[in-house]
Amino acid sequence: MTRSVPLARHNLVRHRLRFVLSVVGVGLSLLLVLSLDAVYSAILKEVTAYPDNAGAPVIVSQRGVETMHMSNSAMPSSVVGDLRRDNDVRRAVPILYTTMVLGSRRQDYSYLIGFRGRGGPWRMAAGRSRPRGDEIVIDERTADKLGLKVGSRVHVAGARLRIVGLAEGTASVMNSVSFVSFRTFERIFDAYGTVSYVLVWPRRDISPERLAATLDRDHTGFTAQTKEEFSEHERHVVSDMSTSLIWGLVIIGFVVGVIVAGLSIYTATTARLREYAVLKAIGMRNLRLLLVISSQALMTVGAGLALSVVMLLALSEVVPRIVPSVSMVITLSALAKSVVITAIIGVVAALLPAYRVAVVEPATVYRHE
Amino acid sequence: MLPVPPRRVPLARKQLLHEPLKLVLAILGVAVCVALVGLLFGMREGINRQVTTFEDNAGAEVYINPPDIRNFVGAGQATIPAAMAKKIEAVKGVTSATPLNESLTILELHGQRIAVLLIGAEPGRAGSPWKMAEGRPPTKPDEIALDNVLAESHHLGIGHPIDLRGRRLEVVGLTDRTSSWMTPIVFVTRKAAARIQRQGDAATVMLVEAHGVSATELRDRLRRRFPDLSILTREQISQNDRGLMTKSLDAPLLTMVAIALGVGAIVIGLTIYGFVSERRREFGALKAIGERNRRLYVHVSMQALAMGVAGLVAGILLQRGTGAAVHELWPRFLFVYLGWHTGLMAGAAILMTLAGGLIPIRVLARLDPAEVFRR
Repeated sequence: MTRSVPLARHNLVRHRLRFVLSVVGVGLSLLLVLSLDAVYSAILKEVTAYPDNAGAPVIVSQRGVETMHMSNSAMPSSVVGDLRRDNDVRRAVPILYTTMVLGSRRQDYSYLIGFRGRGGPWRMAAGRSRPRGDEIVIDERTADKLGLKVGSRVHVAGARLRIVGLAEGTASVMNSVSFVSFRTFERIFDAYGTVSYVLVWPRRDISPERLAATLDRDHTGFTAQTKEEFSEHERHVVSDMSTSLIWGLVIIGFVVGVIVAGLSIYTATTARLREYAVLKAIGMRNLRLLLVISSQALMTVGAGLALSVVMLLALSEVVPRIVPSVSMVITLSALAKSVVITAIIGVVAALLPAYRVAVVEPATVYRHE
Repeated sequence: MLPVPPRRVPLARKQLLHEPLKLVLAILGVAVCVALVGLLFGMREGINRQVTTFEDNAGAEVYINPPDIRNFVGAGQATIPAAMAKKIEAVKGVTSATPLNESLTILELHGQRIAVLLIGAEPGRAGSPWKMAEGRPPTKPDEIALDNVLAESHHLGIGHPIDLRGRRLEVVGLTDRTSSWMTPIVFVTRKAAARIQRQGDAATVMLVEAHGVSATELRDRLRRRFPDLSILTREQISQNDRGLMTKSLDAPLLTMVAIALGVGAIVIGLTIYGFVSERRREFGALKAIGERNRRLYVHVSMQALAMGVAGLVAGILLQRGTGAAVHELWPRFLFVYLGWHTGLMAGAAILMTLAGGLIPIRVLARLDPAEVFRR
């Protein structure tokens, strides 16, 4: 009866410390790629928090303005009347918007939304969601970071506003969202007669897509988009800025992963070169030996991948507790990408020692060290 | 017979050079990690510089902002009346006060959305383009000057039309030293910017130029005259902009640096562990003839140190080469290297060396001198 010897596994785990080090090294290299991807995915998700949760299926903005992030939009308030007179529109609610820096000693960027009725905070951690004159609702995580709480006062463009509520789900690594009443915004920023965006609800028998398309076609003074289109454009702004940076780090993570895995498999193979010579002497072909080495490489990087996912899960729990503004979102596409990167690292790492084994003479077995 | 003088065997060096490929891989691994640390900090400093490009070049010594506004970039919608410039100019030491309208906006070019810092400046006055690469600064409301790096990457030139927030503008100039990874600068006239923003004749900031008085002295003088406004020196407002920018970047950046340090330590550790475990018999022989553990620790520490130093040198070269290549290919990315960055990279290499050198020590300590007799 013939029995198959799991040579690749035996060879790999014979030096446990080396195996562990290799797995940790590959795991950290992949973590470099995965953690950045997770922060980036969280930013993409959080940057659309306002349009996703404001509740309006259609968003109208100044002509040529398709986003809120790093943008400004200003339209005459007569736009709201025009929209309300449209037969396909059920409701049109204006909001005012600007960016501001919240806090004095410790500071944080924030969107400031002036709203009435609709368009305010969607989930509260504490306090009231409807600020009145000289009142403000700020994000819970931001309040914590700036040492503010319900009842604290903040200065906004010359006005001293009292915090009456802490909103949930309104902060990202880049900014948070704060809310005041429409009138307070108008007064503080002297924005009378102007609106930034209009939240629009279609009549029940009209789809948001149709309403957005009709409004956009019929009115030259503004741009109308569904909230999905608006969010998509928000994500585009972030991704267009960050793509090259993300790829830069993916390449670095890949190179480091190849080096760590290559070093480990190369060391494991060269240390057993005489054993490979024995196998060659008893008739094992180069191709089989290459398979053994490749499976060692894949086992190492596979274990590294598993470890990196575990470390990422831990990081995604720990990092937001230490730095509340940073969130991490693990996506299936990121995992799929890392599986592909891992497989490539494994194959490239196996190439280095494969050459050494391919050229080893079976006669080596008779040589003494 | 002449006595043979005792000769030292450079064992550490011999072992290191025994397998050059392994050594090269290890040095490369450390170098990549060191370079990553250096590049991340170089990019952070580059972003810091780029974020204050306007303040560094606009020529104003003091910035007068609406109440509670302490930043220039993304300061928001708050405004002050442009007519206030006359009152400011009446203050002793002020040579000019120029209203300016600044906002962040998105340009859509060839399907790509680019965030830009839109400057609405009075033609020929403080805040208007400081260096033209081609053409001239905008003087009419339907004209725009683009950052030349942005224009080049989108194949735009003089005479091209640009759609900006529902208005069609003509490119009349390309500006130099206005590029940025985050927000390149584009210029229009102040009237055009105020019209786009529906700000009437108000400005978002007033740029003050001075003569014969220090910036801090003038700031204090202006603060006494206009106590409700937020008045800052150029240095203060730049510092605030840098602070906000780096604060959001620092958490992800430090996570990357920590991971890079861990990987570097493992690369060194793996290599030396490989040397030690493959030379167990040799180390066993050394122990059998009386070599103490401490000497052996020194031996592996020297190997770790050699790899750390070589990795540091290669890492600095890699950092400089990569930074220059990236800037050449994508000029909007700027890497600025400060003296302490090199110190930090050296510190990173030392940390990796110390951590990596610790790994094989455990093996050496447990090594039995009888190992020499094993086949």
